Amino acid sequence: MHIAVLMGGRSLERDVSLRSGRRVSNALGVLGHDVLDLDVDENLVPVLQRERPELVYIALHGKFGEDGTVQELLEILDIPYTGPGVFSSAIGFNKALSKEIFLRESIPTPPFFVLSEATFQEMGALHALAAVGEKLGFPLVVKPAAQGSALGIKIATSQEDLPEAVRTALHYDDRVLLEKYVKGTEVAVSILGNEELRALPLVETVPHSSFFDFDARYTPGMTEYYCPARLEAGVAERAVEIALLTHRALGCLNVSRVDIIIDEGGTPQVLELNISPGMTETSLLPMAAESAGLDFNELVRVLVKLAMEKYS
Amino acid sequence: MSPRFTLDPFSDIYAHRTQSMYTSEIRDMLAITARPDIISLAGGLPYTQAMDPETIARSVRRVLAEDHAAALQYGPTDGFAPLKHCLIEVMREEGTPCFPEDIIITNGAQQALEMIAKIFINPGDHIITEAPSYVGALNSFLSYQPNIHTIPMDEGGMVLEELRKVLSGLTASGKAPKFIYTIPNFQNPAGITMSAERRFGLLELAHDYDCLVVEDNPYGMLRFEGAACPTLRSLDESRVIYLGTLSKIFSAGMRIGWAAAPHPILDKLLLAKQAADLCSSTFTQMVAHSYFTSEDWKGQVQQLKEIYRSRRDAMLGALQEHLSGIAEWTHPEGGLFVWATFPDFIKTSEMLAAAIDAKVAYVPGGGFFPYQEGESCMRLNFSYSDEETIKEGIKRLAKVAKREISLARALGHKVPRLAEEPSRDDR
Repeated sequence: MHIAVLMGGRSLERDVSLRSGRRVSNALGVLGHDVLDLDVDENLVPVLQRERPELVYIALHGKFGEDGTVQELLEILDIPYTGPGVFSSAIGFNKALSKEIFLRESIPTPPFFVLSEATFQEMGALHALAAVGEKLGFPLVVKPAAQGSALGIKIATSQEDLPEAVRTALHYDDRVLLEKYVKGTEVAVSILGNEELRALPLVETVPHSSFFDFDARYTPGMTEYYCPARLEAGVAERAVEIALLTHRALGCLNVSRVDIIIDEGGTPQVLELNISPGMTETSLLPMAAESAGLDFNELVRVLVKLAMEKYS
Repeated sequence: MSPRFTLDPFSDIYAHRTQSMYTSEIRDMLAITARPDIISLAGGLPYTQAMDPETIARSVRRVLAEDHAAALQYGPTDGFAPLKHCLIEVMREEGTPCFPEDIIITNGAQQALEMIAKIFINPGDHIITEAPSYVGALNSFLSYQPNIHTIPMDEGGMVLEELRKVLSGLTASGKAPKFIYTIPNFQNPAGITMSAERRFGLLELAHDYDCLVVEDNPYGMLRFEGAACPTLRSLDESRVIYLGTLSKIFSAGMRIGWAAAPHPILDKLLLAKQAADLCSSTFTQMVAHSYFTSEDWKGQVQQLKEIYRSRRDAMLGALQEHLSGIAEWTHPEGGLFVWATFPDFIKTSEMLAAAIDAKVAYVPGGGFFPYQEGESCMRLNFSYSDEETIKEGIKRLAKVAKREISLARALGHKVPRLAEEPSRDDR
């Protein structure tokens, strides 16, 4: 099959995406496909129109690749692609919108508020931060509403930390999510499938630093991973149930990775859903797949098969 | 028990020194600057396009015609002897007398830095650098686990009073520093040149405290304004290790640098180089030799200086036009870099994401310090982009900085209002 792998692009996660993309491209080659690597730039559409690939594998991370933009473009061009569609991507990449949907669907998620840059620049939202702190309590996780790989995330342990943490987040997006910090066990639930869904074994992440930040994600040795996660059977089952609910609530097809924190009472709370999970050497989806007996090439084969199924 | 996934199965057996080697968010973000739609003022690349390819082609052809077998062979560890005469001529251009037996040719000056670290630094040793300083040197040093003491600079270079305090403090507590590392000309990243008076003063202090000085001089030949100062080696051969390179006046890709040092140190460097790579590439050394003996290398350097001067002027002019009252910056008389300092509340590493969004990139200042410092500073390169690109880049940067200021004010910083701050719609 003639498959184009989209990678790189102009997002802040360009480098991570190139790493994902090259690995996927190798795997597709091994699987016998005719592979075209595309570092996304202003020539993307003409190149796709000329090459007419039978499938586009989206290995982009971050803005434009994960937020529905490129998916919409591929819909217009009538080119099949891997991963969830426009709606799921647009909502999934925006943590603020995703969490609104979680609330509507009664999916447990840590309490939060969302503020835009305009509220600070034009409405004096600085003076509302005290109320945010009072209502949610500290520590608070402050993150850009739309940004991947934990870029721009800070933990505010007190009222004094809040303005700076907000400013940091606003470098990455014009909306900031202020979320109650939930202490507990972090797990990632990877889901494969279209009609019939399959949850891969849970991956538990134990970062050496205070949280699973960018460096912890991409530096071997800075985080320990356990797969399957070290959870009581009932808790793990509940986490999977909630992850499947989340995947469906956002209308995902093919694949997603739902990041969950199991609070100290054993309740899984959903932090976010990723529609283009990393495929690097240190990424969680390939790790979960391996634990389920799917090596990397096999995982890529399954993802291609699921993508084609979507169009049949 | 659930299996622990170890991403790197060898993580338990690496040496402790590898802990100071890691990837960073900033490095990954700067990966985007390779894209043509982003104006990168971040790199440190010399403008190799200025080189006439025919001069290189002729040099290569001469080498192959004269002795292709030697060019393809191993060479002596201390370097291709005829090339040493060329390197000495380069040093003499700057008024630094030297003899072939005083130097060892290395794989770029970077290898000399690494070897210096290797032969001098035990874990816990003390060394002194300028603050800020060259990242490549800091990384080489840090991997041997020293304590780095930093000396601030003003427009005349290292502040000697501070240096004296550090030297006397360390000596009094029995922790005599192994060496003082300095880039006296158009320093990377600060663009500052150490005054002649300070050079004498620095050597006096080094003498008083019996300390070596490592003089890294990659940019000395690229002075396009003002009078040259004597090199430290020309003032005191006995305690200065001098590092030179052809990277900025010929080719960074050929990887040719050298160290001129007191002979006992040279002997140790030779052993270190033997262990590291036996010898530098004979081929590139012979090509460089052919170029420096048969082509107009001085004319080429002159041309580079004219290009860089014009680009520096474009950068300083644009900074003046767009960022005066917001940032301060250095006025380099040569080299490749301007160092800009913003108000304390601006963290340039955090602002980088917004800058990349606005399609301009720089290097945040924090990386040029061994410990957390310089967070409101940035390094701007003027050697690689043409004048118009530089002006547009600074214009974009100013817009980002102004938005940053207005955001900081909205979040409680006491910042005076600027004349022309952008509205949200300008973003």
